[in-house]
Amino acid sequence: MAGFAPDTTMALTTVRQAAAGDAASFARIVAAYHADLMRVAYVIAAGDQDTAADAVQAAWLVAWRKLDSLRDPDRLKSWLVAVAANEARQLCRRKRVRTLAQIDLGMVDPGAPDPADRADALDLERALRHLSADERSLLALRYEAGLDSGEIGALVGRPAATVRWRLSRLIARLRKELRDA
Amino acid sequence: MPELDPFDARLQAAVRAFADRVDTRVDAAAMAERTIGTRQTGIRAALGRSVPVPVSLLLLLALLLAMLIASLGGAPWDRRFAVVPVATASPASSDTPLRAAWPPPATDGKGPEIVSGTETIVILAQPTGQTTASQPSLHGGAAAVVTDINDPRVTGSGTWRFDQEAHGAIAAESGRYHLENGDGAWDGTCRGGTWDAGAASVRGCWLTGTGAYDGYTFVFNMTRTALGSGAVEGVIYPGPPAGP
Repeated sequence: MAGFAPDTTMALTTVRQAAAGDAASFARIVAAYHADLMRVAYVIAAGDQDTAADAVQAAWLVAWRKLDSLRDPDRLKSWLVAVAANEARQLCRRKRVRTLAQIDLGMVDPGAPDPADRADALDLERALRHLSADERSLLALRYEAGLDSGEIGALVGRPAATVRWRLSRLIARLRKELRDA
Repeated sequence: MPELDPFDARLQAAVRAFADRVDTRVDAAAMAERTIGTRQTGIRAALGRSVPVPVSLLLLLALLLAMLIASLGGAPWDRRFAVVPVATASPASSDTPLRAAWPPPATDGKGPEIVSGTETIVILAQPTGQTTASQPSLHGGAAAVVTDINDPRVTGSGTWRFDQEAHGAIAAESGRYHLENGDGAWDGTCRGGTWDAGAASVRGCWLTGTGAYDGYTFVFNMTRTALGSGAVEGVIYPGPPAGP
């Protein structure tokens, strides 16, 4: 997923038409960004596909209702990701998602990559188990969505310095957990 | 995004590899249609134009006023069919008179308030089960809800998990409602009825607050006449839910 530089992939007219109630334009936005939203929600949901799907569905509802309040249509993608992240975080809080979808290591697909190649992902899964939904949200916005502290802060309404401090603590913790794994 | 150090790069690769496992397939048109269905038939649209106040709310208020004028004369809030349940607020203890002008303006988000707005609903799971004349129950319904109300305490998102008892073309509903925002949450039970294959419904909910809303009760009625948004009217007050 590319970073969140001003979004040139979605024409401003499409955004404006969708905000004005044009269904086809909104469907184009869904088609363009649904995967991005699902990826972020999936990380926050710690690998729970259903929770991620519920969160993104709720996010589209919010997006549809609030699209006309988007002040800068150039930032559509980051705004949508922030909405999805917020919905996923709230759903996880309610569900207290702590466990991850298990990888069945007993079933080996001959065409699949060597499991050893997935060591980082497996280590991360173990580390994610110990994170809160808020922390996973931070992780998803930083590493999946590719946002920096200032961008995250602007989206979640926190000072960039606060986000930077929380990120540094989170990264230090993950560094230790992944090293110890 | 700034340049990543080696650990950052490893972490980013791991996060993205993890995210690669999600199923991102979507029928965009269907998803959009499901979402938009709420707004095309939504109560904020009148003759194709957006209006600042939900149309159905205006209609409901007009109907309510007509009923009050015709039936009650000068003491409208003493009667049982008041939309805002009178048992939940005492004029003597409230800073906001119950007979405030309608629609109420945006509140300051503190203390007892009369509130109004909309609730938008998206069904996540239809209730299931086999219905017979003697066993009309359906279970496990779930919906995502988003409220847009003139008091920030009760504007947020949540879930409505419900069961139904079918009686021909109508069904009675009951279940648990959860609403939250960044400052706190509301939880409680609702009862109501639905018809027109679920497109129309009425529901009364009693919710108690937690977090910043600890000690408060939010009681509201929701009326929806078409798929999507429904009109919400209710009150927030300090104290527990009223007894039977």
